[in-house]
Amino acid sequence: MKRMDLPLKRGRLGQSAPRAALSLTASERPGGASGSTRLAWQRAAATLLGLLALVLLPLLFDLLFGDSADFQLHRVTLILILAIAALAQNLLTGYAAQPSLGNAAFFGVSAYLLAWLNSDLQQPYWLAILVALLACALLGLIVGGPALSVSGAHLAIATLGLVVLTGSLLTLWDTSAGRQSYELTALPEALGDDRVLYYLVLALTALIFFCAFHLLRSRVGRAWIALRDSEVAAAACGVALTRYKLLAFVVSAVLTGLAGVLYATWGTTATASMSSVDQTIAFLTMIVVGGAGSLSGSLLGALFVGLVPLLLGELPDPLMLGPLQLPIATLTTGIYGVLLLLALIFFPGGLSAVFSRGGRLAREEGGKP
Amino acid sequence: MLRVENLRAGYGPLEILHGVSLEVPAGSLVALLGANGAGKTTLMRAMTGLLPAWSGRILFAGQEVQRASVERRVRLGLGLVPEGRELFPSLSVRENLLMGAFTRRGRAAIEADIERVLTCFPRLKERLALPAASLSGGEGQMLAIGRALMSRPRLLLIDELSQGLAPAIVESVLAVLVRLNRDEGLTILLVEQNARKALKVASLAYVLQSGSIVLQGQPADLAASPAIQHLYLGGEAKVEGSDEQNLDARSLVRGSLNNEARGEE
Amino acid sequence: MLALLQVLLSGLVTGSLYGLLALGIVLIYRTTGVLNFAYGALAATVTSFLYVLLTGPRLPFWPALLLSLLFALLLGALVERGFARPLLAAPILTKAIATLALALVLQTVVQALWPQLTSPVHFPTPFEGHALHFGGLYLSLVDGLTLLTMVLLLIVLQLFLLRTRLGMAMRATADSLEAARLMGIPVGLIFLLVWMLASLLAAVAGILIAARQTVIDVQFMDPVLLLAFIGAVLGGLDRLEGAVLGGALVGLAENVLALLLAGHSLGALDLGNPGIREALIFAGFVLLLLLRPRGLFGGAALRRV
Repeated sequence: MKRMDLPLKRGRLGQSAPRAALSLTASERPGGASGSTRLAWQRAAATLLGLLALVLLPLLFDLLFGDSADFQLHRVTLILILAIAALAQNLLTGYAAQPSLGNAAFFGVSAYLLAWLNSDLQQPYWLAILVALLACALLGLIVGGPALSVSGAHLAIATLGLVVLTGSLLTLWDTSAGRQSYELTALPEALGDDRVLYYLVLALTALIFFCAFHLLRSRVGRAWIALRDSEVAAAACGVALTRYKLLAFVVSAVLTGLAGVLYATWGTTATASMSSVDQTIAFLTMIVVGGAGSLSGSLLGALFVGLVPLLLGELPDPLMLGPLQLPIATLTTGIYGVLLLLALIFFPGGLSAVFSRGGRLAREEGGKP
Repeated sequence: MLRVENLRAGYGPLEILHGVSLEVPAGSLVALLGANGAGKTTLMRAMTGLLPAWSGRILFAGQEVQRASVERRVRLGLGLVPEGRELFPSLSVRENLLMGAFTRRGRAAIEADIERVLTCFPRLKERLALPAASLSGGEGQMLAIGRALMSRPRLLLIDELSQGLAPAIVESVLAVLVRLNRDEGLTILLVEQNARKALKVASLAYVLQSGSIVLQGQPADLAASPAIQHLYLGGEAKVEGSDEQNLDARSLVRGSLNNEARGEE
Repeated sequence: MLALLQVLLSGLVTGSLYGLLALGIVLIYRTTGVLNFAYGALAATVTSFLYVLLTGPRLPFWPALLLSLLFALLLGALVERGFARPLLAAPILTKAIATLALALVLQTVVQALWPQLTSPVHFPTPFEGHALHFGGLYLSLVDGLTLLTMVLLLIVLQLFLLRTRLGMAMRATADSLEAARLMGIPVGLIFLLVWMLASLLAAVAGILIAARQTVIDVQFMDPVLLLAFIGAVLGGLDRLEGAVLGGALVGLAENVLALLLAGHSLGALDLGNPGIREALIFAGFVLLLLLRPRGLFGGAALRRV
């Protein structure tokens, strides 16, 4: 599909250097040589402010929602879990340029492993998670191997096939064990508290984004970005393609696995639909809407995928628009689809590009002699 | 036939052509020389409409075409043999030629023109039914030229004729072009890396450097000029575009403009 | 023996339906670079339209069919102009996600317009209950029509693509967009025609599938689409014959597996379960792709130098 690569668009993915998480306020015009350091400082400040806001969110919810604060907080927790999954997909697809649609397989497998080890075999929760993540690392390696030879659309459909395969195997496990879904019955008691779960997920998410930020600036991250920009050139520069591609698959699988166990913990159940085409779509939507190759894009994408259906669900049903009576309940999926389409058509570089556009323009103007 | 006035164009925010002006008189064979990255291909793409012109005028066959679609320019008689040939790899040689005549009607005339192309390039004859992807480099270039001829162009633009071709093949293809130019009055604008070859057959030459025309004149004058000797005919190891050389080239432009002025008197 | 032949025959029918869908998928992918996951929703939308014509105003079958096919052309044009055109230069993943969004929109519109399709309904055709017999072989009338339609469509399509100026221009555009523009081919019009043609193929496949299973709802194409995609990828995603063959292979595999697995069980697990069959097909597909990364019938990488 090289011919579609109009020269106009060629630079778009390439020019957006990895941006710090939550760099939403980087619009002030930086002056002269100190600009880049000042920008970095602003980003760090914005990130800290954002983090502080998230830490204080439960208190805000107490004021806003009163008795239902914990319930609302529980719903926000999901967005953070989604952000981890989005980051995983983004590292693999947005940075290392592997169009793999297979992450939902790890998402489901790790959740089922946790359920099996923790609920049935009565193993400690944390040990079960550790085993699940190790299994995901191994699976990532196994999936990554073929990806070295299969490429492009073929890889996409093959990995999608893997997701469906995993989904049907998990369903078979459920049916042969005579259950609808796998209930997590032996979770640590503390995690039943919505606030504890929220802070745990928040801490993990923050930690992972922090690590990803530094990983992308390390040798590994540069190798991935080199892979994305041109595989041939990267090979010529001595980047060991095989090793770094495999690494991208493994890291992505482990992070998706982590999101999977957290998701199962959050809902106290593992379902086969975690490894489904719909789940894959959700993962991809997050990075495409948020911005491929952007950390803040992963957050924004998770916000879109997590929050928009939630907000649409809050609309009264039926919705009265003057004389018009809209059956909202049947329309929400469609409205979500329309919003998604609009986002893709009007922000083809992702939402993160919109937020940082002001900053980038200023930088480009400032750079001209 | 073709006049370009102060043409500016580029990709994204990057301006490649900084106000190019040139003229291709009817019936001439004009050579456009320039180093890698001088903007030759960008100029070709802007002239055919593949790339929109930012500003300036393009006059073709007496009409302003800088806003016209590619299709319209082809119908007016502009043909391009693009850089890298851009054949239709899965189509047969014959189908490639037929696609060249897409804007035309009249089956008999088209068939006659296929015969004409095959007389020019007999090697294509036995390959007619094969997919274009199976052609060798030289055959591919012949097909690309033949395909462009199928639209009955009045002006044929050829980008990088000799790219990747053996010298003997370049000679024979050039011979065909010269004959078409001389016997059938086909106007040709030839973009070439190999300045020596191009200057030998051309009746007028331009030198493009960093997106501007820096030299123009009679091929013989250009070939004799020290700057061109130095820049394009000398050893290829020379680094192009250093300040000193630019200075040389600029002074020579002034010289050629003076020549032109005298010619008009 | 007869049982096997019977299974192969119905496998061929299933396979030609997958092949038909794979054909449209490859057509769009090759010319516009869109992995069209909305293809099933397109088919379902037109089929629902036909259902409503048949059950609402109670139109006779053939006029209703004609109207539906016209509607399919219109829908294809609409989708190209409103959706595919603005995204033409977008990265391939963005386009793929956009088609998924489009599928959601189409399904919702169908649901909102015709709420009865939210749950399974009977899809009436004049062919239901009729069958053909060849020796001991049994072929339902719908299946016979499916095979006939498939063969006719393939011949017409092949003639169109190989012999007509427009068909040739479509192939040329798929080969090289830039060169096609240089030939004066109106590529915008070609894109429009490709989407209309693909939409027509989707409609035919959707209607045949609906007639075959006699029960539809708004999502009845979803399980079929993924199998069609597998067929397309097995065929190499780059040529139409490959798509048809790949689709046929998937259909045959599905039916043969059903025959082999029926009645067997592994412990408490009933192997006749459609889930097992699906899992095996996907496993086989992933395995085949490992052995032949460019698909079974994929071009041997005819790349320009």
